[in-house]
Order: sequence, then structure tokens, then C-alpha cells
Amino acid sequence: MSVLLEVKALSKRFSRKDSTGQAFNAVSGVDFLLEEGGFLTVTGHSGSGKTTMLTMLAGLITPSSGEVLFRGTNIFSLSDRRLSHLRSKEISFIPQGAELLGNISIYDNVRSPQLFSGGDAEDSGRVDYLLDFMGIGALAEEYPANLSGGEKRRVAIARALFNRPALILADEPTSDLDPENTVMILDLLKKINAEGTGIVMVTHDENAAACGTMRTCMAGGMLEPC
Amino acid sequence: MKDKSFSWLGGICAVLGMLIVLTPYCIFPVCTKMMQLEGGSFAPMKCFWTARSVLGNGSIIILAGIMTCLCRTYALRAALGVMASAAGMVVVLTPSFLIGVCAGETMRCRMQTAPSLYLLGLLTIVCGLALAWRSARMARKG
Amino acid sequence: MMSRLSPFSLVIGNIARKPFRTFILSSLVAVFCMAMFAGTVIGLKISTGTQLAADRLGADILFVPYGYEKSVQSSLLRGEPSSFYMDRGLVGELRGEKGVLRVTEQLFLATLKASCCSYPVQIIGFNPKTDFVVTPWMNQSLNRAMNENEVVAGCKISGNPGETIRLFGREFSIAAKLDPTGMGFDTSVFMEVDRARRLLLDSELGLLLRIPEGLDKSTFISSVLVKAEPGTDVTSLVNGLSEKYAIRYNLDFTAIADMISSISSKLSVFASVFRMFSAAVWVLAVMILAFVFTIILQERKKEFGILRIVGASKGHVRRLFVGEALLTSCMGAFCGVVLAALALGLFHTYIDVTLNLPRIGIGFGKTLLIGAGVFVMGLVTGPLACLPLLRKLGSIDSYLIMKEGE
Repeated sequence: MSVLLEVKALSKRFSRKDSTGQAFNAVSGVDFLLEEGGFLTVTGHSGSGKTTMLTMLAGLITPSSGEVLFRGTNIFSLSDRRLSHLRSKEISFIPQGAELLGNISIYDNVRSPQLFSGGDAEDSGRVDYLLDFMGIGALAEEYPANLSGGEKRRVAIARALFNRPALILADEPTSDLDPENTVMILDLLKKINAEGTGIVMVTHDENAAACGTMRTCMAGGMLEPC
Repeated sequence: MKDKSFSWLGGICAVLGMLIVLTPYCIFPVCTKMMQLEGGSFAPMKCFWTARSVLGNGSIIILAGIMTCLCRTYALRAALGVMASAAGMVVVLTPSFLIGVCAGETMRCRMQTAPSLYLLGLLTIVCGLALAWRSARMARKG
Repeated sequence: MMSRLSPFSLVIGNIARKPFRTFILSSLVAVFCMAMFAGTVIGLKISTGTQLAADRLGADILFVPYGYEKSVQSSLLRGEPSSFYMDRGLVGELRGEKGVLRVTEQLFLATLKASCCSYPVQIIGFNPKTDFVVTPWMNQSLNRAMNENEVVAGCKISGNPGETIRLFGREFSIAAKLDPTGMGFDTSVFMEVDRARRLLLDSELGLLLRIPEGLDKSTFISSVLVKAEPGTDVTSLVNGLSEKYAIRYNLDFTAIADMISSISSKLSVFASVFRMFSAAVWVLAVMILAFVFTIILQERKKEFGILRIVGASKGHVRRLFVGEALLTSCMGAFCGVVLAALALGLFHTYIDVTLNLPRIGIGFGKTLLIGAGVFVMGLVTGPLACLPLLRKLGSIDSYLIMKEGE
């Protein structure tokens, strides 16, 4: 199996905005490998650095040190334009809170990666398929303000799948959801993974953490065995 | 959101209709004096009849605006929009072609009343067309 | 099948979902464009009109009866009819003066306002043998002598060549219509001076127009126009002539160039104030837009974060933000220019009469050019206002945006 994602000594330092002005390491020396089709879950308490690490894997913030190699390429050696293009095509990020673009319909939200990756006529069928796959086909013409939390989460996942990415980075995809929706989302992620998409999921939910094929824990910005 | 835009358009239409009615009588009044004809008798001038005509058309536009706000059917709203546009067109044509106003360039009816009616009529046409177009679009969406 | 989603459709969606905010921002730009368009057109009317007036009048010095200087200005420049009389003897005396090239006389008559729908017309009697003011541009419309019952009418007199006009109870045929001048000549009727004098004396209404005692009723006139010899200092000539004749003939005198420039400078001040007001409105519009865009930026940090997540580069995000500002400005600029053009076009007579502007158009081509220029200025207002924010937009970490949004 080839390596999809390799993380080497990844660190991120922030200066706290208090009277001491002291720096703190949100993420410190993180190393791991993810193979093609792998499913890694990272658990930890709030403030352990899970979201910061995930956001660096997506290239949305730059690390203080370390590398993130996607299929052998250091993503931080790419220009902002090329990295953004990678995000629209190969690496999808599902943010915590499942944020959507409020001024366009659910249909357009799902195909919004098309704005920056290009696309063709075949894509309209893709949107319908994804909406049906997520069980929200009837909501295509609605706007995000009219959807429940669980429905928004499913739209965010559909959006993440639009361009058939090689890697999905999911930040707390089941937080604030009821048990029924939690099970539905986790089943969807397992199904997507079974089709060959690599997943890195951070969660503080122990049950969700059991979905992955590999599991690790994070505390104080460092990975450690659970 | 959808209903609000129709209320706005209907309201604007009604206001325009009101202004059209008020313009030749209150805002920029036309002459009320009579002119003497060849035979010696007196008759109202063109601007008087123009004012009467736009009073009627303005009332139609007010009615179209109010009904737009009250009714719920897209097809009826589209029809009201077309009606308002047509009435607006007549408001534009009345002082310019259908009846006219006094010939003198610095006469009040030519200098103030007629241009005001042209402007209000044009705005009514635009408003009516916007209403008709939006209603037809919503009707097609079902 | 749905059409492809594009950044433009995203911009349209963002603007359409916030109609009130879009309306307010567009209105700011529209107000600026209206003020700028109106100010520029009015300024051009003033300069075109005063230049035309200077060219048309042709004379250097104007003599009128004492106390009627303002009346003749109103008549010549704004077409406000008036009647005043003086002795013709001055004409012969002025011809012999050093520095004087040509002298001619005019007679001003005003018809009365008979009813609410008739309006007084200025009749100008001129001497075809000596005239150098009216004849040069009258010849452009009529290249033969007028007969006894003919007049030449200004462009705003009702009636076409061949039709009749009734003056002081007599019918006259309109021999020709003159081109627009933007001056009082547009609402005047021209006839031979002796004919005009007889018309006045023969009519019943003429009795109401008081002709001063002592004036020769067969030769009285209203004004004398003098053309100076080339190279003559007009001011010195005016001083010399007025010293000699002003008291004897009880006259007011005006150097035409001074009259035009005095009026021109008053109107130009008005036009300058208008332009300064437009500039102030523009600066205010940019500042308010910049302030509002700053608030919008703060409000939409999360949205920009999402755009970065789905693959927007910093350049994409900046272009979207500027695109919205551009589209908002575009709508405002278009509406502003169109509304201003409509208002000026429809109410031009009212505006000219109220503001005492030259009653002349500037031409469709120039108006279009001004409209295009003002539109472009309005178009750039929005993007200019959000320029200072673009750097900030590109430098914010998406992670921080998302966290701030939580």
C-alpha cells in the first residue's frame, strides 16, 4: 500500500494574548503515516491541539516547524494557489460546526468546490447522487438557515466528497449531534472509507474513535498511545 | 423573502400611482383658467384634460399596487404588473401625444407637470414590468 | 441540468440575499454620480452658453436709457421681454468718434401677457443697413431681405417658417427660424426697425407703453450698439464716450465683454460649488463604503474561511470581495447616471429658468461622454473603498477565522 499522508515533526507555536505574552506549543513534534484508504482517528480533550493539527494537515495554517507530505509532496512548499487547488481537488476538510455558505442553496453549497477546481456538465449528476447518498435529496433548493444541525453536517460531508478527494480531514463530525444522527454520520464515513478514501478524524467521542482502522490519542499537543 | 418583494413592488406601484394623481393637481398644478375659442365661448385647455386623464390612470396604478399586496396568486400578480405598466405607458403618452399640454416652453404645465408625469410614468412601467417578470418566474418555479 | 457555478454567481447570490444593505451602498454611489453628472453638465452649459453669447452679441459697447441696464441684460441673456426708449440722435454722433468702427440701433418691444396661457414675446427691431449683431447669423437661416409683413423668429417661438404669428393685433408671416443661441434671442421676434416702430404706434396697446415726452416718435430707439476698431482699448473708449454722451442723452453704458464675464463668473462660481460638492460627496461615499466594508469583512470572516476550505486561494477571496464591491458600485453608478440624465433632460427648462442658466443644450455626444466618465468614476468607488482591506483579507489565517467564528 502506498503512503497517502506522511507527517514529520509537525509543530505549531502560538503567543498567548495575556499579560505574560508567553508562547505555548499547541502542537508539538507530531509524526504519523497514513496509507491510501486508511482511517485514522485522533481522540483527546478540548484544547489538546487536535483541530490545530488537522488544520495544518489541510494547509489552512502554516506550521512553526515540520512537514506534511501528501503523496510525497510537501504541501507547504507549494504556492498558495497550488495548495488551494489541492484542497479543492484532493484534500477535503469538514470543519467543526459544519459551516456552509449561507447565501447560496444547498445544491450550490455541495458543488462549491467546483468554483475553484473547474468542472463539467457531469457534475450536476454528481450533486444529485451525493444529496441522495446523504439522504437529503429533497433539500436541494433550501438555504442553510432552514436546515437542522444534522442536515448541515451531511451537506458538509457531501461537499467534501464532491470532487472525489483522496483524503478527508474531519473535525469533530459528530459533535452536538443526537445518537441517531451520530450513527448515520459514522456509517457514512465508514462507507466512504470502504470505497478507498483516506480519512483522518479528530473526536473527543470514544465511540466515534472506534470507527477507524488506526487510533491515536493527543494530549498537550503531542500524540501518544491511547 | 419572496412575499416581501411583492409587497415592496406593490407598495412602490401604489406610491407612484398616488404621485401621478397628485402631480397635476397639487404638486405641479396645471392651469385652471379657460381659453377663449373662435366663437367666443370658453373651454378648458389641453393641460386640464391631461390632468383628468392621468387622474384615471393613476387610480388604476394605485389599485394594481394595492391588489398586488393583497392577492396571493402569481398569475394574478403578473397580470397586475402588466396592467400597471400599460397604465404607466398611457401616463407618458398623455401629455406628449394623446392630449398634450400648453405650447409655451416656460408654461408651468410644460416645464414642470409634463416632465414629472414622464418620469413617474417611466418608473411605473419599470415597476410593473419587474412585478410581471418576478411573478411569472415564481409561477414557473411552482 | 443546472448551469455551472461560477464566482460571479456567488457574488450575485451574496448581493441578492442582502437587498437592504446592497440598496444603501448602491445609493451612496448613485448620489455621488447624480451630483457629479449634474454639476459637470451644468458647468459645460454655462461655459458653452457664455461663449456663444459673447460670439453672438458681436458688439463691444451697449448704450441704453439710464436705469435700464439690468432690463437689457435680462432681455438679451434670459429672454425676459422689456420695453425702453431713447433718442436716435446718438447714432449719428457716435459714427464720427475716433475708435468707433460701426454703430447700429435696436428697438425693443414687449407684447403683453394677455392670458395665463399666452406669454410676452420680445420684438427686436433692427436696421438691416447698419446692423452687425443680428444679420450675420440671421443670414444662416434667411439669405434675402424681409418684406413688410415678415419676421424672423427665435427657435423657441411657436410656429414654423410660412406660418403666421400675431403681434400687437397684426398678422406676420414667419420667414425663417433661427438656430438656438441659449440667449434671449431664442424667444424674440426680429423685424425691420421702422416697421417695429410703426407697429407700436399704430396699435391700441402701444398707448400703454409709455414713450417719454420729448422723444421724436418717428425715430426713437431702445439701444445703440458700437463695434470698436481693432486694436482699440475698449475700456478707454467706453470712458471717453460715456463722459461725452451719458449725461446729455441720459444713458447707461456697458462694455459687453465685462457684462458677459461678470455673468459668466457668477455662474462659474455656482458650477464650481457644485463640483466641489460632488467631490465632497465622493470622498464621503468612499469613506462610508470603506467603513461598511470593514464591518462586512468582520461579519463574513467565517464565510471566507469556508471558501478557503473548499479551495479558494487568497487571490480568489480578494477577487470575490472586490467583485461584490464592483457590482454594488456598478448598480449605483448606472442608476445615478440614468436618473440624473433623466432629471436634467426632462426638467431642463425648469432648471435653466430657476438657476438663470443659458438655455442651451450641450449635445448628445458630450452628454454621453460625461455619462460614461461619471459612470467609470462611480464604478471604481467600491473597489477603491475596499483596497485597504484586501491585504488584511489575504493575511488572516483560516484557522483563526474559523475559531473566531465559533
